[in-house]
Amino acid sequence: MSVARPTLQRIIMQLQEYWGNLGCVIAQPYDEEVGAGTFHTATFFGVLGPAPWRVAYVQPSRRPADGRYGENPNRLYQHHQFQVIVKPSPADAQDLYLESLRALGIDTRHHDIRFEEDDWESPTLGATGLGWQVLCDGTEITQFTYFQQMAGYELSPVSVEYTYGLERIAAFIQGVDHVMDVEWVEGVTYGQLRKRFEYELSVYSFSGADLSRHWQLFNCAEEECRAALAARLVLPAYEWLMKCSHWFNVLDARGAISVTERTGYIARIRSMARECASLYLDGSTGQGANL
Amino acid sequence: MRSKPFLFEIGVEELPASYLAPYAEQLARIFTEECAQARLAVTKMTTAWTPRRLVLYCEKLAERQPVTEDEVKGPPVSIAFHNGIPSRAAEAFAAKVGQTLDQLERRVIAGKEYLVARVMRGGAKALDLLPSLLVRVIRKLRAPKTMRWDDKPTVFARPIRWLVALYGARVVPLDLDGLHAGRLTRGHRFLSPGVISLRKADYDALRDRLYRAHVILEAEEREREIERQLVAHGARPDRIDRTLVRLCANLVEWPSVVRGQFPQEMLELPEVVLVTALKKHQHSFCLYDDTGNLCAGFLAVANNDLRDEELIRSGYERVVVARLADARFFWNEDRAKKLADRVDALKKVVFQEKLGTYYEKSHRVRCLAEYLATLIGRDDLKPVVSRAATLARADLTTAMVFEFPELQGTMGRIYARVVDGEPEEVSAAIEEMYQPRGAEDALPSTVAGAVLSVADKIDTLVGCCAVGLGPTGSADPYALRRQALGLLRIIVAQGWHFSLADLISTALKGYHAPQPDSVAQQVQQLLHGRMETLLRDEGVRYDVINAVIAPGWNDASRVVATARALMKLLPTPEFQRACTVVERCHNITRDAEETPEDVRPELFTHEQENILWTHWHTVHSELQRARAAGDIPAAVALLAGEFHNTLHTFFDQVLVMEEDARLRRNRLALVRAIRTGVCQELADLARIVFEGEENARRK
Repeated sequence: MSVARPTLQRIIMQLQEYWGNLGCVIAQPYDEEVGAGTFHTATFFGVLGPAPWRVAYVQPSRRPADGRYGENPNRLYQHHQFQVIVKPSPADAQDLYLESLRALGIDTRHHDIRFEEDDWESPTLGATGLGWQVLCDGTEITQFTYFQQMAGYELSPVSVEYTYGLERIAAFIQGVDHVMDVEWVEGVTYGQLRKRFEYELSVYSFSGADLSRHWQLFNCAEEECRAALAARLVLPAYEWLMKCSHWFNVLDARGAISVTERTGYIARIRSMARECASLYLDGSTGQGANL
Repeated sequence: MRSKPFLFEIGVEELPASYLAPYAEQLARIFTEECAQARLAVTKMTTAWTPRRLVLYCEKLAERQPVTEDEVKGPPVSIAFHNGIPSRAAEAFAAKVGQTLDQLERRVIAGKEYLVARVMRGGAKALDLLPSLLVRVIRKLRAPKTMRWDDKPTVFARPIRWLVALYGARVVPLDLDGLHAGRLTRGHRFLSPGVISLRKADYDALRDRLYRAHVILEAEEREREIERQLVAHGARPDRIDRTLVRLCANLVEWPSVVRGQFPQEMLELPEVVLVTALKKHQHSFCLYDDTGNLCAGFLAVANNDLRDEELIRSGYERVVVARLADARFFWNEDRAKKLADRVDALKKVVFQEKLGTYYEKSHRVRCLAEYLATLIGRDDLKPVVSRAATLARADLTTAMVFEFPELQGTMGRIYARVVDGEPEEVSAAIEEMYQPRGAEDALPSTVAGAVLSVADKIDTLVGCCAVGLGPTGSADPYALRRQALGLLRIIVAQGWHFSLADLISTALKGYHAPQPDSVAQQVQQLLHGRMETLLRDEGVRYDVINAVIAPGWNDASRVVATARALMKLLPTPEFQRACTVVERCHNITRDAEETPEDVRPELFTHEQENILWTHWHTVHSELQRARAAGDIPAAVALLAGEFHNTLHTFFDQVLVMEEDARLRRNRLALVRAIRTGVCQELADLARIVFEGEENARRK
């Protein structure tokens, strides 16, 4: 393996190779706007039910409220997660993870690696988990979670989710202070590839997006989701849920949702998630359906 | 009894720091209980922990249960035998105790002859009892949040990955849902990977072996090590944050302090922001120079041996600098807008879903604060408290408080001063409104701050109770008990005398509660409960608490002052004499019939009645004067002095329970008037219990 400082592209390839060798399906990003890799069907449905399942993939994740016009050194409208699910979680869950850091060239002997308590939950998905944020010399590089619930269902067996923050890890390994200076591949920076996107999407979500149309979009998507559920079509229904969730995030970033309303909208998305999961568990035919 | 040492280690994935000490405490307690239950003698127990392990050791654990011979009672002989032939009852009993019929004995118990069996009990081996005992212990350990992992049914705060259970040199064959105990422990995850085999249960050996494997087993030892290194890196011993030391000691197994720098210009940030950013978010210590000012450096505690110190230092510095750069960005942004111009934005910040916005709360608190200023005779404070109440929540809309919520109030004070240019008394009150933040925290130091804090707290208490969010049982989601206690502490410290009931009903006007009376009652109960807590925390005896609260606790300052004074007077003979006055009155009227309230002197037939009645009038008005002056010893002296004799002479010479009902009831009314009078003006002294008297009184 090359000793040259790893580019973001190489980090992704190394993680794919590492987890692929451990029996993970290397999946592709889901082609809908999502806030986190957890929304991918490979995770949401994959962790439900009893069947063993291992999957890894990159998931571009949109957080409209975190958009900073490409100016902030580590906050982004869209960042990239490398998501791994291992079900059931193995007895050496931590060691497997640490070995992946070594595969990236992070010397765990000489750095200060910590597992610090961090309980995770996604109220929109009805998901909870316990685990840690993994810190390397004080920088958070991974979210490490033992899923306890998904869509309100107690999970058995328990899956472990590793979510690597790719930009953070790359900046850390490359020793750069600003995400835009991260080297994506030799001679190409993150900024060259992503800055315009970050800028335009930030402008759009903070001042461009038409609020009343977004409310309409949210409501239409919810209706479509309900219609698909009525037709017992789980995956189309779930795709409309993803859209609802994204449009909710756009509206939220604009401060268009009051605290009181917030709870109500989150409950609406969660109820869709619950029904998708319940329908899926009803007719689950094994892992083939996850993707 | 022969015994052996016992060593138990629960190896886990990193536990939350705050769970460690409570887990260890439970481990010791539950293990002790289980051993007592299993009749296994244990001595010299100790516990220790790191983020990855909980350890229990006892120097002596009995090898066996003690053997005892017990007598088991069977059926009466009359039922056990019919005409000398054993019945089914006799056979069943013999089978139950595992003996033959002729081994059974007969014994007369309470005049009736029974079959009895002598049975040897106990003698089970520790090694046989421990496996299931230890599983029960693990299952009984509780934590605020627990989880399951893999495909196991076990529940714990984080996955359990190994177990060491050694009795003497032998492994206790323990099986926790498929995880078997052994003799293998582990050293530091990164510095000494691999397992360590323990020959036998030996705490000192374990501690040494772990130390060589880069694990300091004992938390106190890690704390000492951290403090030593902090000082070696230039921390001033008097400025070391011990709470943070304790936290860090529970986050690492091999603490090593790293010193980092940040750019000098970051020191432009308010000190409290720097401290919060470093401490809360990086668990790092601040550095101070000789004059007590912050330096542009910090100390972090790594879980490493720093073989490549520069690597770790540069990593920490980058994170800290990024954090501080964020804070500086917020600081600059926030100062572009006055707090006064942020007040309107509070219309969008919800205080509590059912209780409206902070804008509305600020308005209510302002009205209450003005009312309170009048109540305590400080109308001059009205402009200050009114201004402070208006601005007090505006810092909730600043970026700094959004990022560091614990700085609310503190940033309000700073921004009010530097951005709005408010006078010091206004800005101080803004911060002090939040005090005391906990049982240990300081009270507001200014009167305006105290007024604002009480106004804010009573508004929260009344509002929450009005919408059904009051505390129930152990659930108190809005920490109302803490707020109620804080409110009382402030009133007492300020020595304010006003009616809490009036304050509650005024606060209620800010809401449109459908049933104001029941809300007021709930708030009163809440305050009553905290009043007892406050007195108990001061070491006031239970009977004294009852005595001072009995006449009402509406005036909190008076109740506390009386309690404190009575505690001091308690050992004096005067006090005992004063109490006998009330006690005699109490004893005779306690079970007596109802009487009219008014004493009618024209019905007096005995001169002692007149003497007592006249004397009481004088004493009563003197008691009122003493009360107004807050002079409790004077009040006690009044009762213990001449009046004491007058009363006793009365009781000696006058028959209260006279046959003539009119005379009797009038005399009872006289005695009752004294009893209630003393209770109202001082305390219900009849409730005071003197040593050796407890039983006599109950008669």
